[in-house]
Amino acid sequence: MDEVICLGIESTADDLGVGIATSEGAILANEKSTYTPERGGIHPREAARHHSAQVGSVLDSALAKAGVGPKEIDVIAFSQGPGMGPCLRTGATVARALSIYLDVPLVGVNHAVAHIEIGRLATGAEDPLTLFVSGGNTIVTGYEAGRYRIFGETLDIAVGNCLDVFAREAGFPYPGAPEVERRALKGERFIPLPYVVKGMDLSFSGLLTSALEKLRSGRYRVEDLCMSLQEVAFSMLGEVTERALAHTRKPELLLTGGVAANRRLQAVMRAIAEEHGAESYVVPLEYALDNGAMIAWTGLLAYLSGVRTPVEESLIRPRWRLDEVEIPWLR
Amino acid sequence: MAKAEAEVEILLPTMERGRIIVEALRPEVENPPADRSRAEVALKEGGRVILHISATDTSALRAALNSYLRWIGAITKALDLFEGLSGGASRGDASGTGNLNKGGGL
Repeated sequence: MDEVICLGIESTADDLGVGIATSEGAILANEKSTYTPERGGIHPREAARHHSAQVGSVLDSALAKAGVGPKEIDVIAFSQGPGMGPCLRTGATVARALSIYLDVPLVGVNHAVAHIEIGRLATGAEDPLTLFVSGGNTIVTGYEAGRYRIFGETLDIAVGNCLDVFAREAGFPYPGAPEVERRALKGERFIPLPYVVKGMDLSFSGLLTSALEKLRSGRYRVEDLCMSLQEVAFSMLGEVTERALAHTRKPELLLTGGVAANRRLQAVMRAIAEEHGAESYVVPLEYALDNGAMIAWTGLLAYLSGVRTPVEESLIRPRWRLDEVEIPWLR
Repeated sequence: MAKAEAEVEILLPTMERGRIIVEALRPEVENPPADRSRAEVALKEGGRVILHISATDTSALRAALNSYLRWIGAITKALDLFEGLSGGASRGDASGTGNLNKGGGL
């Protein structure tokens, strides 16, 4: 079969990404523009306004980088959910228009599936147990009988959100989680914080509240708090991931999503994989944060398995769960 | 009941452009994110797109208007780019500028 080229648009939150992937597994382009709030967190409507304004230039750089003309594109993919409504709607609207204009199929992609698939593509992992951690998601998952099953997940906020909000309150510049990691290296004294694992699920909101109270009290070194916050949060992730790995006996452990960039978390996951004789994989940084390449690649996998999303059925799905998605390409 | 209404007429270069915009927006029109406003988008002769919004109050009206106009703006930017790049071979083959004059059928 001839090579198939897919253009994918990612717009679930603060990143507007455009990626171009081929059926040979090549990523020809992975361009993005990120909305940066003046203060506070991501305001969905303001992020969507940014995406509308920037979509022309990000599309332009992606096509230029890939050396691909519009007529060479065979499929348009977009992140259909889960994510922030106004942001998703902006990407979906543009994707529909391009699909109609080029007269090529449209494929709606689940954002969480895309983080797993780009991790598999970039690392060569085949059937990993995956820890997907970002500003909006915290999921321990693995493929079983047609779907990515969720073995554990957060019951409230995502681990990346916990780190970001702490960083913001500590006055670190946006995005703050990398600064938490840097400060944690200078931590010396462990400060006890609430460790909350319920069965196979996790809760980070109490941990965040407690860390913020201690931060505001002024009685602790911020470096010690950063270290303790990371240690508690990553130990919780480690406990659930290890139990899932032991239970599923998967031969590989994959760390993906924006928080995968954290070296301390990488070390925790490596240790767990070693303990269980599994190969340990970490998604490369350019594919760790939200990006268009992962949408293009996952759109291609779906397209080649016969998945299509007619324009009239392409409404966004802000709460689309990972385990609702059929994964025919792994059967 | 609608307390605030607005109608915007947008003149597009071609009927085709208008058709694409109306079709791309249809899922949003049929499933509005909030129940404080309702939108209708219709294509008229001459490439005119009529956007009609009715809302329970002026804040909701403004929010809906902003959303739809920005979506139309985003689609326009994307289609302008694609139309500009179409008509020729792949981007990788293009050499600099001024290579757009491919129309002459000799």
